[in-house]
Amino acid sequence: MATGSASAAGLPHKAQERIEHDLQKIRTENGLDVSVLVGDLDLEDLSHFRGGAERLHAALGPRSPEAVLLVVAPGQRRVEVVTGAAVRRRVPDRVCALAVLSMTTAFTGGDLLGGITEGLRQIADSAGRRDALTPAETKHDELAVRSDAVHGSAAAPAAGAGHDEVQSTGSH
Amino acid sequence: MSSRRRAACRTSALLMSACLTVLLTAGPALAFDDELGPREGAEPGPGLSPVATIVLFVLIPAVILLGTAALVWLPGMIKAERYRPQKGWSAAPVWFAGPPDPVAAVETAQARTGDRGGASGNW
Repeated sequence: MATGSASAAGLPHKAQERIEHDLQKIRTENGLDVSVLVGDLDLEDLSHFRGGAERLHAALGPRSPEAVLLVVAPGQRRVEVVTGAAVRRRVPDRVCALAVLSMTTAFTGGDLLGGITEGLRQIADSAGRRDALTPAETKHDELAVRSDAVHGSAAAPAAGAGHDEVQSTGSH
Repeated sequence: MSSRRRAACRTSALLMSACLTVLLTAGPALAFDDELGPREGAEPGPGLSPVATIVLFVLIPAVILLGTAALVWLPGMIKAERYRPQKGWSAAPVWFAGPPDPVAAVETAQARTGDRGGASGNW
C-alpha cells in the first residue's frame, strides 16, 4: 500500500475485455476496422507524438487505409486518433475531435476505460452501419477460442494452424 | 508532511477522547462500596474483573471500530490500481486488434504523411 506504482498493473483485465468486446462489436455492427493502443510511446520529444501515432497506423499494414487507430498514452497524457485515407469520409476529423474531447474529459477524471469506450462509441456512431468485417486475424486469444470452437475435437491446435481455420471459416 | 502530522494529531485526539469517554462512563462502576452498605433492593452481582472490564469496554468497541473502518477502506484499497493522471503510467503498452507482430511491423512501417486524418488531444 505504501508507495507502490499503483498504475504498474496497467489496464485491469476486465477493462481489456471490455475494449476487445467493443472493438469486435464495431467490426461486426459497423464494419469498421478500429484498433486501440494503450500505452506510452517511445519518443524523444512529445511534439513528435502525432508522427509516432501515424507510424503505428502505418504498421497496421494493408489494413491501414481503412483502419482507425486510437492511441492513448496515459503517462504522456496524449490521445491521438488516426484515420486511414479510405475511412476519412466515414469518420471525419470533426468527429474525431469531438471523440478526443470526450476522452480527455474522462481521462482527466481518471476514467481510462470510460473515455476509451465513449470515444469508440462516437467513432462507431459516425461510421454508420455496414456489412461485418471478417473476424480479426490478429488477436491470438480469439484465434485460440475460435479454432477450438470450429473443431472442438482437435486437442489444442497450434496458433498457426488455427489461423488458416479462421480465415477459411471466417469468409462465410 | 504537515498533513501527515495533522492526521496523527487527529488520530491521537480521537483515541484519547474515545478512551476518556469509556473511562468516565465506567468510572462509577469502579467506585468503592458505599460505607452505608448496599442500598435496599440492590443486589450487586459479582462485579467485573479489571480484565473483563477492559475487554468489555475497550477491546470489543475497538474491534467494532476497526471492523467498520476496514469495511470502509477495503474496497478503495482493492481498486487502488485506478488510473491517476498525476502518478504516471509504467505498464507496457497494450495494442488491441493490432498487427500480429507489433515490434516488427512498427520497425518496417513507413509513415507517409498527408492522407491520414484524425485528431489530437492532451489532458
